[in-house]
Amino acid sequence: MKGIVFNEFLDMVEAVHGFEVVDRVLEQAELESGGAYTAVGTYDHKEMINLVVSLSQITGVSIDTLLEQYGSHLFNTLMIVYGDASPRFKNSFDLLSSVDSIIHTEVLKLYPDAQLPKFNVLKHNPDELVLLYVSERPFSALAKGLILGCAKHFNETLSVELEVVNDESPYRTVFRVVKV
Amino acid sequence: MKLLAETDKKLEFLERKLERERRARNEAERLLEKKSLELYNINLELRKINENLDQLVADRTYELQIAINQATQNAADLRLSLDRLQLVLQAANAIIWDWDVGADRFEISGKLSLPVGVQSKSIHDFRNFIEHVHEDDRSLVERTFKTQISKRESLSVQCRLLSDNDEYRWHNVIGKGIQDERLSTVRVVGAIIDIHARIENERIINRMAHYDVLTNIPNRTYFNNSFNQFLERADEEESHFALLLIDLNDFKLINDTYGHVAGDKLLAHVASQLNAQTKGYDIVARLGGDEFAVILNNLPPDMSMDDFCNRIIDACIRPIDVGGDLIQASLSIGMARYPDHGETREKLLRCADVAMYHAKSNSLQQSAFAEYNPHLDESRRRRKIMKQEIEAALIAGEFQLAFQPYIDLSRDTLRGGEALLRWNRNDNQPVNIQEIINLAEESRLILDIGRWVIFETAKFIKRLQELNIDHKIAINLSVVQFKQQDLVAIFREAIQLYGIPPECIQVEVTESLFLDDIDRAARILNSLADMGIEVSVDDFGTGYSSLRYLQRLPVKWVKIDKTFVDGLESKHENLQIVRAIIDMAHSMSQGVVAEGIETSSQRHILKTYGCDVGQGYLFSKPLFEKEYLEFIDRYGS
Repeated sequence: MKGIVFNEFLDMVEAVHGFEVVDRVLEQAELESGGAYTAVGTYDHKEMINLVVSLSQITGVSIDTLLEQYGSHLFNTLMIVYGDASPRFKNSFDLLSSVDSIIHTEVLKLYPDAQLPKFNVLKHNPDELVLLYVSERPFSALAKGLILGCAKHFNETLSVELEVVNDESPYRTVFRVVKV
Repeated sequence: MKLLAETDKKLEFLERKLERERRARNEAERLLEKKSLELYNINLELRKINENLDQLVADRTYELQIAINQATQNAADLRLSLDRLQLVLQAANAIIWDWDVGADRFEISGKLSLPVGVQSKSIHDFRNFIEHVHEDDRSLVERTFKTQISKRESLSVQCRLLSDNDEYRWHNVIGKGIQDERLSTVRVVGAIIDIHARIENERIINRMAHYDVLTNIPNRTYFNNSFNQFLERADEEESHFALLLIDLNDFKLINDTYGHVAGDKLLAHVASQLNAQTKGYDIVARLGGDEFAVILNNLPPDMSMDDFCNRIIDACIRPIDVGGDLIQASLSIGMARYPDHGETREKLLRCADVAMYHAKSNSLQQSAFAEYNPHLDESRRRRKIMKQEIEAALIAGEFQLAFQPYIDLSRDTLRGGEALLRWNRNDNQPVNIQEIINLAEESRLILDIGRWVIFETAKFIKRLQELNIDHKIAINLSVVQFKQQDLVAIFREAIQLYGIPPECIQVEVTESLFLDDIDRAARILNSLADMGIEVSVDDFGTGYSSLRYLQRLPVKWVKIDKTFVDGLESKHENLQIVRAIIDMAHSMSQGVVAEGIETSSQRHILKTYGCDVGQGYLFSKPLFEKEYLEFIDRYGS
């Protein structure tokens, strides 16, 4: 997992809870990297799990909620950093249905060793988009947050329902996204 | 205190954050360094790849350049061979043709440079091409192409093709087929070579080899070839043909008298007349010298050839003008028929030859023809033997002279005698002397015999002179001698040899001498007369008696033929003829001799009519020298 994802997470925690919480989360998580992340570096995704678990214990907020919040935040950041490509997408369905075919293809050009989840389009009509999320990591909540961040970006209101198909690696989750 | 403690704690957090940031920066630098190294390595790798690529490009460029050079060289070579091919084609006077058999597209490329080309523009398919071939050569050309295609052989055919100037010219069409995988000929490519000049030359050479240059008719070689073909065809078709051998009588004399130019003209005249009298499928050839041959084809089996022979004789004997002199041919024609007289060339030629000699012997001066029959073989064989015997007799001295007296009728005195040839054969076989003389004339042995007679007579006159007998002896001369001997020289020689007076010699000639060439006869007789030799016309009244020659020639005596004397007592018309001859001769100051007097009444009648001299058994038979001398003794000269 790229260092930018960790840095963005810690920045969000600091912005929401202050640097003391950040320090506690890092201390508690007992990370191999010691919490020093470089945006272009690659780190074990388990450190992210440890960080989220640690934050949940400190704040009492559930892991999924934390991941979902972070997903929404992350989308916004990604749009700022890598937002050059956004004008080519007219709306959220347009972007979401192109994650595998366009966005991840571009990501692999920059980071050939990146381990990316799959977003298979099962259904796509103007009001409904059904995606199958397949990943080596249990981050379907993060994915949901990203979807909601996307809706926010396009000023859309979307309802997202998750249906876990497989809860161990490879993790499979069906996302039913409906325009509200 | 609490504030201080919080500040310390905050400081501690910040220090820890700073520591994390420093580690993150170190990590970032490490990553950067790693990436830089990777980039450097990649760059090195890329440079290496680039260098390799450059080398590859250089190699490829070099190879390409070599290929371009090779292609350029190939193109130049191709151009050179094309130019070379073009030159060869021009030198060979050839053009290329290309026939796509499947699509039936016939193309002719190039142009014949000399002197005119084939009308190639209007040839697009094989049919067009064939239409440009001469009608007579078409089937051969079509057959050759067909054979080539079926047998997949090279083709070569000589034919006439229509050229630019609408004339047919000889060409050699050669070609080779190209076969597909099923071995069918799909294309035939070749050349057309102008061989007109060569063919024309060959024709001229062929003509020179087969035609007689002088008369422009086939020669013996051509004749023999054609003869063999006729024989083959006649055998297949069971048809009949006739062979005529034609010989010019006394042609040597014409050459000797008028020169070879005249002789050549006469030969050409005869050749053209023979040609004019025959049809296209007949053959007229000059076999050599003055000998011609004619083959008449497709004759009805028993068709008489008399009309044809008379026609060619009439045509050929028409006189021609040679530098002011009129000369004419005289022909002897012998004929043989296929298959009646023979079935081979040799046999037929021999038969025609036998017939021709028969014709010649029957008519020494006049044109004549004869058809072969088996009896002629016997006659020829006999004559051949007799001729050999005559030659032998001349050498062995078996010939003798007998002399038959001439009696002056009014005075009843011996006036002279006539020398007559006798053959005293060792084998004592009977001899028909007239037959011997005819044969001798035909075979020209008469020249030797005649010369012997002149010298023998001169010798006898010398003998008489020695005995003081002044006596005229008459010598008979043959027409052949006049034509082929210098009689004047021979007489002069004999007279000089024996030293005798020319006046003692008399010559007797027949009327036929004047028919042929009266000028020549007149010249010789005048020369003899100038020497003092008397001229007598023998057998007067039997031939072509003419007052004209009696007037023109130095004739001293006219001799009435025995046939008129024989019937003198019984036939009134004989009496009248004899009277007329005597009157006429006397009116021209010529003396008259009657021969064959056998009775006293004949003598009486002749004497009464004024005949000057008589001869016959009434007075004496011909006597050999000894008896003749006795007769002179007895009769008184």
